[in-house]
Order: sequence, then C-alpha cells, then structure tokens
Amino acid sequence: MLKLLKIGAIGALTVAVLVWPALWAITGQAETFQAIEPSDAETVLTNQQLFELDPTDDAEEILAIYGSALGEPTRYLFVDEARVVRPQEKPELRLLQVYKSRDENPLQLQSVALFTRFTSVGAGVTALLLFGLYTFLRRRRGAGARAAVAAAG
Amino acid sequence: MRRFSSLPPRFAVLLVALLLTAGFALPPADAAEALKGRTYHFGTHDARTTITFVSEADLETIHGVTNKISGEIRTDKTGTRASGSIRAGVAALKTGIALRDEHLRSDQWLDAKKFPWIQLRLVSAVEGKDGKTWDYTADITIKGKTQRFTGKAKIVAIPDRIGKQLGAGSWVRVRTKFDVKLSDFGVVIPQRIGAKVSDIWKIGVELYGTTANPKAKTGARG
Repeated sequence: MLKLLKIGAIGALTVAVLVWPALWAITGQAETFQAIEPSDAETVLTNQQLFELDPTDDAEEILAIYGSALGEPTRYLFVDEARVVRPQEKPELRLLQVYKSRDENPLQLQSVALFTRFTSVGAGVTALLLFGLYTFLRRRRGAGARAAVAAAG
Repeated sequence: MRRFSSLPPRFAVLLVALLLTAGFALPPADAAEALKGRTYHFGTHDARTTITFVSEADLETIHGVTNKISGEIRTDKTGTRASGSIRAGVAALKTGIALRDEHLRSDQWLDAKKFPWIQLRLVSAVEGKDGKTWDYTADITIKGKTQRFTGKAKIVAIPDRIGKQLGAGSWVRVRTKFDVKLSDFGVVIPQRIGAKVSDIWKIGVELYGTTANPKAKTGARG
C-alpha cells in the first residue's frame, strides 16, 4: 500500500512537471493563420473581379475575397495544409479555411496551453495528497511497530 | 484595318487594354446610379450570406457563424440613403461544436425558444463622401432587448456583368463590423474557473443582396 502511494505520488509529480516541456515542444508545431469561413466559387470570382476594379494592398480587403474573417490571426495546431490559402494578391497572407457552418473547430494552441495548466495543477495537487497520505500512513505504521516492540519488551 | 495594323505592337496592346478597361470598369457615377430606388433582398442564398461572431474565452477564441438570415434594405431615389431591417435566427448560430451551440441557444444565453431572432433595424444610413463607405445608425434586438449603435459599412453596387454569376437580379455587397456587449441584452455569462467567456462579441457582416424578390413566383434564383 505504502509503495503504491509512493509510486502514485512520484508519477503525479512527474506528470505535473513534464507537461510543460511537452507544451513547449507542441508550441513549436503551432502556426499562425487567419481563419476564414470560405466563400463559394462564384462569390470568390465576383470578389476577385470587383477587386480588380479597385485594387488595394489592404490585407483585410484581400482576405475578404476568399471568405469572411473569423476574428484575428490565431495559432493553430495540426493544420491540414490543403485547407490553407495563400492569396495570389498577397501571398504572405495565410488563410485557413474553416467551415464553422459544418461544425469544424480546428485545435488552437490556447486550448492546449489551458489543458496543460489544468493537468499540471491537477497532477501537482494529486501528488501532494498522495505524498501526505504516504507520510501519514508511514508514521502511523512506524508508531504501531514501536508500540508492538515496547509491549513485547 | 490597315491603319490599326500599322500601329507599333506595344501601342496596339495598350490601346486594346484601355478599351477593355473602359468597357469593364464601373465608373463611380454609375455605381451611385445603380443604388437608386432599389429594394435589395438579403439571405436569399446561404453562400451569399455570412455573419461571423468572435468571443474571447479561456479555453479558446470562439469563432461562430450563421448563413441563415432574411431581410430587405431599400435605397431612396437619390441612392444615398437607405432603410430596412435584417434578422438572423438564433437556432442557426454555429460555433463548430454542437454542444456549445446548444448552450448558446439555452435560456441562460440567447434563449432561442423565447427569442428566436436577432433583429437589426436601420434607423438611418447615409452614403459617405467617398461613395463607398456608409454611416449608419441601427437598433439591434437580442433576447428581447434593443440597443442603438452606430457604424460604418462598405457598400458596393456590383455591376450586372459581374453580378449575374451570383444569380438573378442586380446585386449589392455589404460589409460591416461592430461589437455587441452581451450583458446589455440581459445575457449573464457564467464565470467558472477555466471557462471564462468575454462579454463582448465582435460581429462581422458580409452580405450580398439582390433586387430579385425570392417571394415572387417568377423570381428564379441562381
């Protein structure tokens, strides 16, 4: 029992610590995209033709050719490259097509970071509880053994 | 023909390009003309209708969308003023997670059963000096409560030559952005640990309206 508690406490403490380097490693995989709810082909063509009548270098106008912006540029994980649009009008823009209307919700780095924080805190508290219980039981067992020896003597 | 063929090739190309540009571009005067005394119908086609909303939360930045709206906007005889209203169904708001959409529809949030529509009514809309940006004042009604706000909208009368690929009628494109403070509309956001959600929704509107009335029997839609 004591051994199990000790292993559990060490395991929980390990998880509480190791999630942070794991997050650091995952952060390296995250890329920043401007998510858009894509427009259909006819709308994109219409917007392109309207853009040609009144061209501009404004990123907001250019991304609007391809769809409606979903907030500000956001860091996403595990993005499908096939979903990324680099507009010919401004190739440095990286638009991520997200069909919210079809229940799509790509993973944001922010979500993983929050999950990491919760996991670390949860595992840390678990480690403390297990270690406290381990110490308490160990002391009680020690006191019991000493009492038995004293009674026998 | 002989005279044209005797032109230097570069000059001939330039001439053709100029002629094409003149033929295809819509001069500003024509754009204003196109908006005169029209009634534009919105929400006639999901693909020509996008309203987005963004809310910052602990877990993630919530992005949502709806393609289900209906409404009309009328321009006056000068084509420089407009009135009308648009409404969006609460039940059709999509955030990418079905369970979250369900919460959004619940009585604690937008209460879709009791208040199925979010309504926006133009109080005034006046064309700006640049002929592209309009200043407007509107009343927005959410969960039975109405708030007035002002904003700017980019309105483009789409030349018929281009707009015909969108469907029947003459088309106009409307883009605008504004913020909505949910607590002003009686929405109480639960602030649980790790589930904090911003009180502000940032709304983005991209709508294409057509003069073809979808209710008319002969109004074939593209």
